[in-house]
Amino acid sequence: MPIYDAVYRRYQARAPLHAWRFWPVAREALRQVLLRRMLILLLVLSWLPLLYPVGQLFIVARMPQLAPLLTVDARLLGDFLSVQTYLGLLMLLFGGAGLIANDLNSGGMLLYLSRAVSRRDYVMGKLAAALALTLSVTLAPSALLYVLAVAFLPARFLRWDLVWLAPAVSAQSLLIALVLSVSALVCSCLTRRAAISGIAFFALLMGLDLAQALLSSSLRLDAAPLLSPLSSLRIVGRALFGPASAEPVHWIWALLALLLFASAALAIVRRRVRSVEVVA
Amino acid sequence: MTNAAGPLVTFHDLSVNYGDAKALSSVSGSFPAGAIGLLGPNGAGKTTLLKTLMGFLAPHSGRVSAFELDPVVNPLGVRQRIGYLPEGDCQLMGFTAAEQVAFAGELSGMPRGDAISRAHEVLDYVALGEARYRRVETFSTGMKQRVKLAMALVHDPDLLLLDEPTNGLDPKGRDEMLVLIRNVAARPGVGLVLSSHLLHDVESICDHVIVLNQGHVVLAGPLGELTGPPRRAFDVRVKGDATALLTDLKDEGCAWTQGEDGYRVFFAEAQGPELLFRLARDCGAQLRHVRPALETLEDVFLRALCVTSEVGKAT
Repeated sequence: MPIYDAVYRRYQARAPLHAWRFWPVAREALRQVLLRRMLILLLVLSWLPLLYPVGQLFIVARMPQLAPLLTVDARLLGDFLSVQTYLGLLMLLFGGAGLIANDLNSGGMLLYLSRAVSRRDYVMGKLAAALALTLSVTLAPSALLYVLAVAFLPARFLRWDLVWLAPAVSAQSLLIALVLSVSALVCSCLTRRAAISGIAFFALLMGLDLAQALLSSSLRLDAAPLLSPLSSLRIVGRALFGPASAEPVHWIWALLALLLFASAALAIVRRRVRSVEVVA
Repeated sequence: MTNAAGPLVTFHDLSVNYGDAKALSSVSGSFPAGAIGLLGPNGAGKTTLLKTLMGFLAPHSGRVSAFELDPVVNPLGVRQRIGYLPEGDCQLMGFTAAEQVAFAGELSGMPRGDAISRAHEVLDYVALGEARYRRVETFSTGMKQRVKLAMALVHDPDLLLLDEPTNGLDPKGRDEMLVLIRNVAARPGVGLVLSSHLLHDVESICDHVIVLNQGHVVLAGPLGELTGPPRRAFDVRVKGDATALLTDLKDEGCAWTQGEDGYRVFFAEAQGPELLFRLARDCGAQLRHVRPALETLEDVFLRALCVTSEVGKAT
């Protein structure tokens, strides 16, 4: 027994609700994910590919005579982001699969929804956590790469005709993060087991990519790349950073397909959360 | 804060449907400050009423108001003032009890610092000592119930909704939980709705009860009035055939149930045992035993749900 008399005392400092109600949801989701050492290790490993383009920049800066042998232009950033897309996928495979599934499994979602947190706050919080995980391996290293490129080779990268490069890096990183995050969330909300959610997430993205490759090669369907979010991301990436090549579909269509995919996924997540709210 | 004068929650002509199925049908009533027991068999509409109150479900018709707020228009404002203890498991994987309770406070709009200090205060109140630093998934059922109560209390709600709070507890744990709940319910300005199948729990805590059945309110009122006064119910034993007396009682508007060694007769308003004696004299029945029956909540509950069918069967 405690040495004092435990009595119920009232709390008289109720504050009005603030607009950033999703923030505690996102913060705690991220904290729980980052408590896993494997995720920290994966995060560190995800930055290793940065060494290759940085090495290229260094070599070209120190030994200009080798410049013709190495591709050091906007494509450097585009290629780097393509690689980071798959590492972002891995991050979410292990860190994003349980974001909603674990709440469904343990009844935790009722804890959120019976409080002053709306369905939108909950979904935004989980999305923000997934975005933060993905951006940590896309936007953060690619922004660093851009800064290093400008620092090493200002004559090549600090030009008016390349002023779009920094916004392009940010936009492509955000697009990759958004598509991967909503895919992870939609798989996470459809099952109570994080492992199954992870497998479904991987199968969804890689399966669609495989399907579009098969359709493109066997049926010669021009629109087939729009079926796969990863393929659409590649089309948008090539349109932004090069190389300029004849794409089967215009990058605008790819962008629209990605936005449609993200909207549909978010609608499914909100609907699923709503059904839990009513049935739980 | 709470309007101490009026009821915390009112619902008027409230109907809620799940598709074509009617879960609540023109239900009216109120939750005054104090402890209210919400009773009813499975599927009676108790959970639907609580969910409508919290803004999860929109009424098909009628209106509901909590703290003078409309849960349909302002669900978050209502939920900020409600503490909900759900029946099932409700925990976050990987959280310690202290973290989880503080987080629950933060989700209810408390600043983080306040939520942490208040979490420890309510964990002290529910007597969860050093265990608060352990992960909740390692807790026993009783400890999980205490954590759920602490989460319901952390933001100091004006209304507590407790759904089967003693579920799965051993007798000692149940008694301790009831003491905690009684303590909270005794605080002025705090409302408490206890939804439970354990009538003893409700009887020991609540001063009002609302009985729902098939989406309708079949009984509501202060517990003291429903279980008394003793003049309303009498245990009666009759020598020989009692059919004529029972038929006459029914004709006079009285209800009755058959017990192991006699009958329990329920008189209507303004009736009393004098009626019983008069009818017995008129039909020649010999009364061997007439004693005021002290009705328990269980009697009230069963009468509300079953008396009509019992009478129908018996006659």
